[in-house]
Amino acid sequence: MKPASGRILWVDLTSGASREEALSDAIYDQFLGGLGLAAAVLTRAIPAGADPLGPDNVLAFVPGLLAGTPSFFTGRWMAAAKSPLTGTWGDANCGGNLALAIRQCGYDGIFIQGISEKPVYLLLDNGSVELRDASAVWGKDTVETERMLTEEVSLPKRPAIASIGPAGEKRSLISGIVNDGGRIAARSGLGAVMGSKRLKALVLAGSKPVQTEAPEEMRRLSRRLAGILAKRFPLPGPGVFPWLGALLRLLPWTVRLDGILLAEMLCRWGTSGMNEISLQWGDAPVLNWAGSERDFPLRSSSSIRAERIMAGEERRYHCLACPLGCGSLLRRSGELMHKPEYETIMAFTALLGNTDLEAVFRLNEALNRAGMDTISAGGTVAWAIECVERGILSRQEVDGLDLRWGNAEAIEELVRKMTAREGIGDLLADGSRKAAQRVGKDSQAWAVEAGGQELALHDSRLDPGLALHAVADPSPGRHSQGGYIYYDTYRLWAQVPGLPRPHLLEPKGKRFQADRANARKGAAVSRFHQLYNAAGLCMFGAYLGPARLPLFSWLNAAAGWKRSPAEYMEVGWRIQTLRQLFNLKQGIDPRAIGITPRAVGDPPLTEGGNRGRRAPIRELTSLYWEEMGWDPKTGIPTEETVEALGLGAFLERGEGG
Amino acid sequence: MAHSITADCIGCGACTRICPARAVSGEIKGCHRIDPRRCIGCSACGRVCPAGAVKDGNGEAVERQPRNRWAMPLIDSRSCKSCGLCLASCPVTALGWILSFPEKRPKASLERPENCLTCGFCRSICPVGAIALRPSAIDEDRTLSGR
Repeated sequence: MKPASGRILWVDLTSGASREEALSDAIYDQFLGGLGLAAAVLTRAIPAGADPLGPDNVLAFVPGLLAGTPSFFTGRWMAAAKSPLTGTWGDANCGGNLALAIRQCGYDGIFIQGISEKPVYLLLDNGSVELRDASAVWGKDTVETERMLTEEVSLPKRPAIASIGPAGEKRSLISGIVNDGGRIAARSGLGAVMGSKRLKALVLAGSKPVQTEAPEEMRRLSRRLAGILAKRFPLPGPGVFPWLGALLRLLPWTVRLDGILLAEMLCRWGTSGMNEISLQWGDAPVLNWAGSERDFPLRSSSSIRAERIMAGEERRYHCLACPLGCGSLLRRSGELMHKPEYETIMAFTALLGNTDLEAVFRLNEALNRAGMDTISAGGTVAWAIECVERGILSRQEVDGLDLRWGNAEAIEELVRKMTAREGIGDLLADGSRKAAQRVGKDSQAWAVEAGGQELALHDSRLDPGLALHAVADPSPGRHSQGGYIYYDTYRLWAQVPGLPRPHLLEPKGKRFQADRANARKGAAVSRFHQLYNAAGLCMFGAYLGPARLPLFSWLNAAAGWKRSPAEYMEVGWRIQTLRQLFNLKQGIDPRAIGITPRAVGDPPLTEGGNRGRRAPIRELTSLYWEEMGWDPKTGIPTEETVEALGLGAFLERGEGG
Repeated sequence: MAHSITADCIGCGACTRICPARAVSGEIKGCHRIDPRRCIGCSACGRVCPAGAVKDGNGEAVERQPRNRWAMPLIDSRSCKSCGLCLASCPVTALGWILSFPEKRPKASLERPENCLTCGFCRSICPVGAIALRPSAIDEDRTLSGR
């Protein structure tokens, strides 16, 4: 079925054998591709109670259904497995250049089982599947690994490579998988899964073209979108951004943001355009979520102004299929490196009270090369500093480092130790929750996480929808699974019947109510996110909303379907429900997934823009479950929901593993 | 769509040498064959076959063309959105980036015309139709670089 090849590849690293599996059209009808396909396969293939770092865990690499079609923003690839960090469904999403490369080898997904005796890399081209000795690159960082493997395979076409660095090799539970010189599928600890399998890299060198049912229609839709993006919107310079953030903070209303403005900002400055707005607005957590914008005032926030981040830009960086190009390649100290993203900058500045921007550039590059998640690394360092400040950890216990807020030198050395699993770094390399469990002394209270995964740098005391999804999503602790800001920008109400339409200005307190309308927004965002993760869409493209970005029409043109937006939202609902069923199969009780009380305003902040705010997370989660057709008391999908989505019949079929 | 070789093959091996997917096999002076699993459907084998022995996936004979008449991608850099799909689709790395200023954005360009197989994958994948195929003057003697 176009645009899918209808085949997935299984590689068993224990035996070294590989096999292809042909999938029926029905699986694409129900799950599309991408994370939908991964959920369909992994829910069946990973046995209950599987050790995430054992041979039974299956690591999936999947492109979205639209990868390689003449469409924009559809170049994301995703990794998925049972997460060793949270014990739940785990996935991670990345740009770079791998999505089409998987397709060009003739597959809709690559699924890795077993454990190799020695380090190997997997080389695929247009028909060969080969496991090769990786001992020469084992221990190398991800950039060096890409360079060495590109030279070693020496093919007419430069291959796309995804690899783990030393962090993944050492099975750090906050490690990820890196592609294209520093784009990382960072979350859920999937680098550790790859490391546990002794799989150093995927090297993909296929060239098969992707077919679609209506390529001209796809191009017509893409040209229309290109026309929208070609219009420039007037924006003030970055010097005004902190004042804009302060204005948003002081207003008594929430402003419904338009995604086209975010797209303009991303086009000009990348995600770092948000740095100062977020700080002054109250979106960026400060000092391990205990501080406020007052602890990182204007004189500090100007240290991370977008213009300073962009200094040394050699050229813009576009992920595959992206017309926006929010990335940059910077030349610093003679080295070409990816520009740090908002999350990384905030994790190593505001969260830690640090204003040394040069240290952030070095940390970003070091972590990308080591293959470690910058969000979790920053969150874990914040926990360690707070533990030292509170006397829970002594200076001797942190290897004599002078750990305190803002001491960039000590922070850099601590991160180096984490990536090498050296001394105190060995304790911290598995994230803050695991470290707190080992240290005890009530240090769990200062590990800011949900379900075991460190929260990203967006404050749920400004947008409580973030906390809802961090707890209720089957992959907990993620900012990219949902929030009210996403609902506002997607404008789904214009295309999907029955969804609430927010006003341009709404009282800020409205978001903090645990009511049916907010739960409905959360459920809609979940469905839409799962849909676009199945299509392989970038979140920044999704900001434009389906009225501008023709996701539904592209899917119809690519596959020859005539589905309505509501029918596509049902696909997202099906995938989200299947991810929840994955967790239940693995013995996860949805009620047991918690979030650090501090992150939801328990106790509330006493100063700053978010003072006094508390997200009603338990009540809201229950309403969300109900909106998803899951039991409001237990979070278990009801029999009616499972049957209505065709999941009962699917799980009984013998397809996908 | 996988191609195939008919009994008209004279075993010259031109197809084997040009195939970017290592899909063609056979002895010199013997009849060659295309592995349908490896074939990417670029038609390069047919364009160099002196015997006209290659058929495309629809069973149509692929016409032989002298190398200097092969069409090359002509990229409208003003329409190019820098998405990189054309570069990634190229089986022989014929395309590369040039920088546009002052934006410092990369734009697709035909960097190694001697590599181009005129497969048209770049044109098919371009979301905005910024790529056309035009005949280009390449010396007939020039072969694929590095092969």
